[in-house]
Amino acid sequence: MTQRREHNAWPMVISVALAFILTILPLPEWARVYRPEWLGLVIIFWCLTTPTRFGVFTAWSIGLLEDVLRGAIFGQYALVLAFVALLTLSVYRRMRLFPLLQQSLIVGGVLFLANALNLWIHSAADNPTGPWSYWWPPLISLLLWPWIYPLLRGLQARYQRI
Amino acid sequence: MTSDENALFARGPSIVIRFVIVLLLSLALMALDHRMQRLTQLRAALAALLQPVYYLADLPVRSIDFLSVVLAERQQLLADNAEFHRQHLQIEARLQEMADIKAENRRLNALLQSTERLSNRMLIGRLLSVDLDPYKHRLVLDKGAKDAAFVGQPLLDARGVMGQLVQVSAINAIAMLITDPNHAIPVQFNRNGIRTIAIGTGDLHRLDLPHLPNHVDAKPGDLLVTSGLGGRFPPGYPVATVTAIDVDPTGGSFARISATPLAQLDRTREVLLVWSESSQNRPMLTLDIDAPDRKTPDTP
Repeated sequence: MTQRREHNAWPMVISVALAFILTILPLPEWARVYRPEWLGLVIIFWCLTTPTRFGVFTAWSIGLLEDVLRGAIFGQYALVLAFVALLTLSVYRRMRLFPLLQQSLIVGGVLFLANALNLWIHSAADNPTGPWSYWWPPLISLLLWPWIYPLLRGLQARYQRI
Repeated sequence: MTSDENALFARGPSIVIRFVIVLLLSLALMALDHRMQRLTQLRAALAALLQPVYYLADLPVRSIDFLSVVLAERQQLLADNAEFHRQHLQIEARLQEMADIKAENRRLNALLQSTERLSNRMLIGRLLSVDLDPYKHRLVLDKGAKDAAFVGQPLLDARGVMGQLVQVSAINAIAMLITDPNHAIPVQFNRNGIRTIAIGTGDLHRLDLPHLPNHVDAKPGDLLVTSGLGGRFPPGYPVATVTAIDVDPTGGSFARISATPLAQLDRTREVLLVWSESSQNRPMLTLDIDAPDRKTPDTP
């Protein structure tokens, strides 16, 4: 059991590390507002497939790292990602039964609510409320889910077989 | 594994309770961070963990830069070199005038019995090509605590003030630009000495000067320099030029004045970190000054 758990941790670490890099990878100026919520997607995936190992606390810790990575106020992304985990964990049983396209609608919904929370914290910290383009990332992430899910599934399966 | 997943409840508290715990923790952290600017140490420690992430995200652009140098035409390099030599000569010549002016300045300062302004120590840092947040103006640079960088340290480029450091780890630092909506910098009109505060707008080419009355003596093209109030930015560095003055004749008491930063905030790849030695020698600055850049520390 412990042996397998060690193996299972690797795909998580790899996917989270990749998501961190993609989160700050430089994009051309026009594309910056469309950047998908990579960490949100990864967290939804792991909450969906291994809800016993990956939960609110893990998501929160990853969020703390994101706060430092982006120089944001401490606890902002931590809370947002914990919220993503909470929402996913409360619907994951139903979500697993859905086909991919329906799943991506839920993913979009979860990230949409998380985005609302993020925006709320953002404006509570004296920031001006932003433009409509704040709402692109959940939409783009929704459209990406049918590709992300099989990719991460593949990564997971590869390590489970070892 | 199956027994794990079929268990109706995960071990430990339920997810809602867990979420409430992290909610409270987050709120406490935000309050500590936002209101009191504690936690600098914790940030530095966590940032150290994240070095490889910055490194890898920066890698594509850096390798392209490297290749473009390696593959550059010899002819081009020679031309560049000649151009730099010419510029160097011109700047040297101007520096000679500077020596004279400095000496004169020191004499005048002595006459006025004011404290002498010492020259500032500078270090060149390179910006990493990473993109932290499209709605905030933050940059990552490759200098950190190992180079004696500190939170609040001013950042310049060749033309003007760029911003200040808000998070410093061992080998990296995050800087907030003067155009970040959370940034404010105490400035002074170079022409007539009027002091005010320039506030970031979230637009890379605009600063706002919201605290000036309608009858203020300001003209488009006026140069704004750092006033040195607040003790954070050394005095006398160029910040921006006034671009538009919108006087509200219908009774508003404040003019709407905007200015364009002089630093090339979106193009510069190399920046100067400044250690200002004058700020410590000027006790008068610390008295009235909490107010002007109260907003400046890290408040995303």
